[in-house]
Amino acid sequence: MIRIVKRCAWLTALLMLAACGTERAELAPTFEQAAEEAAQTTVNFYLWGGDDGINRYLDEFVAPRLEAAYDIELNRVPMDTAEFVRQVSLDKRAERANGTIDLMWINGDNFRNAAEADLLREDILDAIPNAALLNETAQATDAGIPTEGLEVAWGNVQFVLHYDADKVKNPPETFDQLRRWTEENPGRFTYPEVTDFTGNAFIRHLLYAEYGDAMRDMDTIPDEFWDELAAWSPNLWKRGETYPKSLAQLDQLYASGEVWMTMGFNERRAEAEVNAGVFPDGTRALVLDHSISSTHFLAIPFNAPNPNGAVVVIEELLSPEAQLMKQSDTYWGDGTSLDVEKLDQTDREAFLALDEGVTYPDPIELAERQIADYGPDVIDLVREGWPRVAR
Amino acid sequence: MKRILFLIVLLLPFIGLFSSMPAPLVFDEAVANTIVHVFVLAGLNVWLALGTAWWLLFTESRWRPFVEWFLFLPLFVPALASTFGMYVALVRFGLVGTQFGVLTVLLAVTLPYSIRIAYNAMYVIGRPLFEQALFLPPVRRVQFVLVPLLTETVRTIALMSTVVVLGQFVLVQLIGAGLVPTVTTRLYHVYAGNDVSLALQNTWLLVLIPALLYGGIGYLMRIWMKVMKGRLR
Amino acid sequence: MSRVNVVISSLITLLPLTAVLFLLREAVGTDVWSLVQDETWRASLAVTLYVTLVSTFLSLVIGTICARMVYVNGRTWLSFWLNWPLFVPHIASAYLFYLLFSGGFPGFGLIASNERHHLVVILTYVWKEVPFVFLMMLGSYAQLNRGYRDMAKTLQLSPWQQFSVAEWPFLIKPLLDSFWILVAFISFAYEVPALLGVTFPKLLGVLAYDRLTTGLFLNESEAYAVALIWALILFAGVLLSYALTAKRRRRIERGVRR
Repeated sequence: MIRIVKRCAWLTALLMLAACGTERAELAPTFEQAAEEAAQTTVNFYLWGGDDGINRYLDEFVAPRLEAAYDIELNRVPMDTAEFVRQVSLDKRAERANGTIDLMWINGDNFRNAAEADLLREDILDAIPNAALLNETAQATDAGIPTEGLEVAWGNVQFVLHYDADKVKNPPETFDQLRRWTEENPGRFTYPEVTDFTGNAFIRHLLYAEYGDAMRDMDTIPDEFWDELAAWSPNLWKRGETYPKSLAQLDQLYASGEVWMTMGFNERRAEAEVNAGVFPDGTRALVLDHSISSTHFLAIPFNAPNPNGAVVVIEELLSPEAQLMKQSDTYWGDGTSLDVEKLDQTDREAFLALDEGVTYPDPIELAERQIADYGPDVIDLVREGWPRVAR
Repeated sequence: MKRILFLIVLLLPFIGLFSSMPAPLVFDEAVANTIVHVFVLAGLNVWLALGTAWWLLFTESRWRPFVEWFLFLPLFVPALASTFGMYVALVRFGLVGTQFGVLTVLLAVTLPYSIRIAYNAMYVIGRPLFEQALFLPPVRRVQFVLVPLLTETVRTIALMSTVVVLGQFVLVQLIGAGLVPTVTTRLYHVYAGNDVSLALQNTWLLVLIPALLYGGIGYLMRIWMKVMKGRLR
Repeated sequence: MSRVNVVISSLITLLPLTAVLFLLREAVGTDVWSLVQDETWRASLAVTLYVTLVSTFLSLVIGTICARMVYVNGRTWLSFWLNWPLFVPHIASAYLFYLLFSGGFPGFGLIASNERHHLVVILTYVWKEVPFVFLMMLGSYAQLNRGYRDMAKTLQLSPWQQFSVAEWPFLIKPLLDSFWILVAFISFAYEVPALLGVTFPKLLGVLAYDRLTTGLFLNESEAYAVALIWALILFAGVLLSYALTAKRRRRIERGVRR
């Protein structure tokens, strides 16, 4: 009896010892060495999993290429961004030198939080040959914060709305008109809660319509703004008593025809949805007064167990072929983070030759109305102030 | 009439299962993990809960009231509240992101319920019946008395622990660090999306797994009883 | 053999309990007063109490009535059908109710998911918990001494008096158990209200989890503090209610009325 208990205790102790890896994995000095070390390993890639096109792009296109070229297995782990950043921060607090996450998809306020808490591996750019092809403006800052080599630009997109042209006969052209349109069509428009990435960005667009660049120097959002927004909510979906928790839920409402507009970063995102028959055929892009452009990034956490594998995966994701497939409407439609001018002629022409989609906005108009993001401080202000609108 | 009305209300929610065609089932890692979790935890719960409840009811010890309270305490701690604490505790032993870690926390959230169920059931059956069993040697005690008497309890414990395990999203996601995908964590990602058939496929699985387990245990027990009755003759 | 089980069970139990100690460490430094004044948390507490108490109360009443119908009136078909909701995990039943009430089915305009009365949340919980209560109460009825009921009948007491004299005293303990298990479970859960609830007010579990996982790291200790305070309140409630009924329960357990 007591012997059994003792044996159990021994077993547990052994298990714990065996499981405690305390060595931090180191990065190889050159890419070739990194690729060599990474052969026959698995890379745990953590990213938001709410978009089927993105998931399929990685599973069906990127993963087989990595397997063939480098003998690396890509393990895509779907999780909300803030959630895995929190996980790394809990690791940091518990001094866990050998974590679980090798590579993560990150930007904006999550990047700021991770950078401030020292959660990211530094100077990864040197190890990645394809980083030389990056668009330097895109790589320089993340929503106004200098990236300082903590992350690598993966894609570059702009915020647009999409509407169903079969139901919306005279689409609004400004945010002001959008508001008047909802008064005429109550219940047919809504936006995600501001805890959601997209919902928060929508409010920042309204802020820009109201205060323009002056908002960058303001410490608070004036009360009048929130009062006005609260006065708008009775005309929204469910009379503004509730909002979709995520962009995926808004897309669900749009697909079922309950609301007539949806929105999101990435001007090409609706094309694949229409082709798959999820979004209505009449879906068209809607560019209002201005559109925030946003770059999203890849980063390696400080305690990545397989940093060499992560470097190899980044190299592959930045290759012109992978970026071209990412931008085409086959899977995702995500704008490239490379500087097309730096590519050789065939690659450059391939990018320029990408089909125009029916749901794509006019690229010139979109470029003209592009604005830089306010940055994480305003994201926080929106999160703090918005709850009174939903009240 | 009343009976029909009652049944309609009770069974109405199941209509959702038939609202559209579920996606065809692919036997992948998430399904495999889920099935392993269910079997391991149902087994552990039954074994630990019956033994513990037995001790609580029939052992004379001055520790008894203390242990009793201690074991029921977690029932009153909201699961979500203890999740983050368990993460930091398990990180120190390198158990985060492992099957073992996930199984441990799942056991921690199901065991108090199981003990409660076992305790109530044994209490109902009553001390006299069990006391008579004490005269039998252990193996025969289990064969002839405990198994037949406790069939229903075993089934209920297995069912309840399975259902609780299948309902855990936050816990598995955090302790598994995303590396232990289950049908539940997958469902959570698809239920907000546009793929109703995939969401339904996962929901079907979540309903069928406990049902099959429940039915399976019932079947096994019936066979057991037949064999035992045969021997007694 | 059973001592090994007790040791292992205790070790396993230790895990969530130490987690509470960890909460204590994390919650240090929270300004409790500002928490009390924060309208978001207050509204959340109010709606949590409402949803929890209404669903718990309904589940207890309906579950007990069903158990009584089986035991006293011999409606055994009930015990077969009431098993069905037990097979459905909470997260799956939330999705089933979402499919029913989010507008997919015509004719359900009367109640809809995601509205401020939280009717569908309550409905989901009642549907899930009635069978649980039913199971707990069926056990209690099974051990109830039929003699008391027969005596009450012989004395020609009214049905209500029969219940309150011959059954109610024996139901206090299991009802109390079920009550606290349900309250603890419902009041701080995430999955069901996250899918069926509204943006404002959110239930405590959803609000705490949201605060913990979305950006603002500053709010972190606040969510831990809320979890801790809520656990302590429940705990105090449990102790108090058991202490208040201890005398009565002990007398019944002895089977003597003095």
